[in-house]
Amino acid sequence: MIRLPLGLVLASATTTAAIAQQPEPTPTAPSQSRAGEIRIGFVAQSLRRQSAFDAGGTATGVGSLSGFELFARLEGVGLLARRSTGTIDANGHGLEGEYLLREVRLIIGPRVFSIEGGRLQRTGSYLNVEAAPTAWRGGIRSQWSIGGSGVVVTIGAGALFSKLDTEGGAQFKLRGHDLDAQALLQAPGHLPLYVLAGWRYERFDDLEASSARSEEASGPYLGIGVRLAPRAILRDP
Amino acid sequence: MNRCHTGCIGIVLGLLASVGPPASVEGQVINPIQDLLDGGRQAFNNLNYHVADSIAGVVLKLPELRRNQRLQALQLAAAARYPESGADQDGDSAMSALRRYVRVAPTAPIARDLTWSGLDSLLAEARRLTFGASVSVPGTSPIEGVNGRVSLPVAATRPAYFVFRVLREGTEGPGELVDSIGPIEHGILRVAPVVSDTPRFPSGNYQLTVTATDPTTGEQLNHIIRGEFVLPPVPLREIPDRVDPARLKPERTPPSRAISLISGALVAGTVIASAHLLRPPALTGASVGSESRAVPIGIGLGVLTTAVSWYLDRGKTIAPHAEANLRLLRDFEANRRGLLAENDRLRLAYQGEVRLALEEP
Repeated sequence: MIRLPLGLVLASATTTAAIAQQPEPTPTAPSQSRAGEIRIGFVAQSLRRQSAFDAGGTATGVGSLSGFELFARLEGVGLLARRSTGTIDANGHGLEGEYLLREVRLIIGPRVFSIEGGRLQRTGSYLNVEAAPTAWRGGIRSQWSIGGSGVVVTIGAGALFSKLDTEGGAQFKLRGHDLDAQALLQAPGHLPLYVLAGWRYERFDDLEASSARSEEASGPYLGIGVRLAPRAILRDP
Repeated sequence: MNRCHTGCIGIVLGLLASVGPPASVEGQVINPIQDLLDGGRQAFNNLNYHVADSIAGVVLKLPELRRNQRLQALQLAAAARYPESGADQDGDSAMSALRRYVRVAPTAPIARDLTWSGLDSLLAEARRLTFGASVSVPGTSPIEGVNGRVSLPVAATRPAYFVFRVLREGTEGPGELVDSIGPIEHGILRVAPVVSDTPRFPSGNYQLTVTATDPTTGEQLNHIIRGEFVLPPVPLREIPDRVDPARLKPERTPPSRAISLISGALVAGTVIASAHLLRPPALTGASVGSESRAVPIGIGLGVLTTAVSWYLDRGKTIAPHAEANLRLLRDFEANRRGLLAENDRLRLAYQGEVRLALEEP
C-alpha cells in the first residue's frame, strides 16, 4: 500500500533527473569543475501534527517552526543538517508546547540518485508529557535542474527505524516514513542567493518514549539563504 | 624702343641674326635667347642702355620665351630704362616694365648687377601699385605614404585669395576644388593625392589651376600648371568586420520544456501523495482527515516550479561551444589586428608621384 506509490514517485523522479542530467551535445567535457556545493539558510515551516494515542483518541495541533538548514556536498558525498523549533497550538488536546526538530544526514552517491543515512529527533508534548523520540533514517533522494533556469528540484523519501536491544542482539524496527519535495531557485545564476519552497511529510508509528501510537507531521516550508558552488553547478547542479 | 636710334636697331638686328636653331659646339648646347639676354646685359654694363633696352624688347616679343627668360628681359628693360645716371632715366617706361615684372614675380628682386637704390624704390612702388601673384611649382613630388602631400607655395603683392583646382584632361568644368587660402601675401596650397586609402585622382594627366584674387579690386590672376599624377591603388588587405555567423556554434541547448512540465507534475504529485497514501492506519481508522492543505499547496508548488523554470529557462550553457566561440573570436581579433598592422605598414610604404610644370602665359 505504501511502498508502491512511494516507489512510483521516486522512480519517476529518478528517471526525470536522469533525463534532465543528460550530457550536453558537446564534443568535450565541460572544463569547469562540478564538484562542491555548500548552502546555508533560514527555513520556516507551517507544521500540522496529528496523533493517535495508545490510550485511544486523537489530537491535532498546528504551529510554525523556524530554524536553519546546512547542506554541503562534494562529488559523491554530502551532509545535511537542520534544526527547527517552534510552538504547537493544539487547543488543549495535549500536543501544545515547544516542538524541536533536529536531524543530520549523510548522503552518498551522485546527485541524480543518492542514498541517505542519518539520525533525527523530534522533541514535543504528547498528552502534555514532553518526550524526545529519536530514530535512525535511511532514504534516497534525487536532484535535478531544469535546463538553464536555475530551478533545482529535489524529491526524497526515507524510512525511519528504531534500534531495539534484544537478547539476540540489536535490531532495527521500521517506525515510519517520510517524503519531501522541494524546488530551489537560484537566479540570477551568478548571485550566491537562493530561495526554496517545499513540502515535508513524516509519519511515526509506536513512537519510542511517548504515548503516541502514530503521528503524522506535515506542512509546507520556505527557505532563503546563501549557496556557494562553481558556476556550472549554480545553473546546472 | 622709341628712344633707340637707328644704330641701335642695327646692333640688335645683328644680334638677332645670330639667333637660330640651337647649335652644339663641342657638345655644349647653345641657347640663342640666353645669348641674346647675355648680350643685352653686356650692353647694359657698357652703358649702352638703349641697346640693352632694345634687346630686352626683342626678347619679350619672342613666342617661345620661358618664364625665367621673360623675367630676365623685364629686369633688363627696367634697368636700362632707369639707370643710375639721371640723363638716361625714363621712369614711366621703367615702371611699365616693372609692373609687368611684379605681376608674375611679386616677390622676386632684381639682379644685383642691374639694380641700384633708385630702381629698387621704383620696384617697391610697382609692387604697391600692381596686383601680382606667383606660384612655385616643385617639379616632381614623390608621394611617400598615403598621407603624402603636394605643396605649392604662393605669393602675392598684397593679401589675396588663392584657389586651387584640379581638372582631369579631357573633361569639362571648373575642376575639383582641392584647397583655398587667404587673404594672405604668402602661403602654401596643398593637395592630398590619396584620401581614405584611395587615390583621389586616378593616374593620368591633369590641369591644375591656381587663381589669385585681389579682394579689393576683384582682379584675378590664373596660373595654369600641367600635371601628371602617377597614383597606383593602395594595396590594402581586406579586413573582415565580423566573424562569419555560420562558424559560431550554439552556446545554449534548447529550453527543457518537457522536464519543466514533468518536474512540476512530480512535485505536485509527491505533495498530494504524501498526505493521502502514507497515512498511519491509526489515524485513518479514527476518521482523522488527511492534511487538507496538501492538494492546493501541491498544485501551487507544481505550477510554480513549472512556471518559474519555464520562464527562466534559456537553455543550458554548452561550455565547450562557448569556449570554442571565444577562441574563434580571439583568433579573429588577433588576425584582424595583424591585418590592421599590415595595412598600416602598406600605407606607410605606399609610393606615388606627381609631376608638375607651370604653363607659360
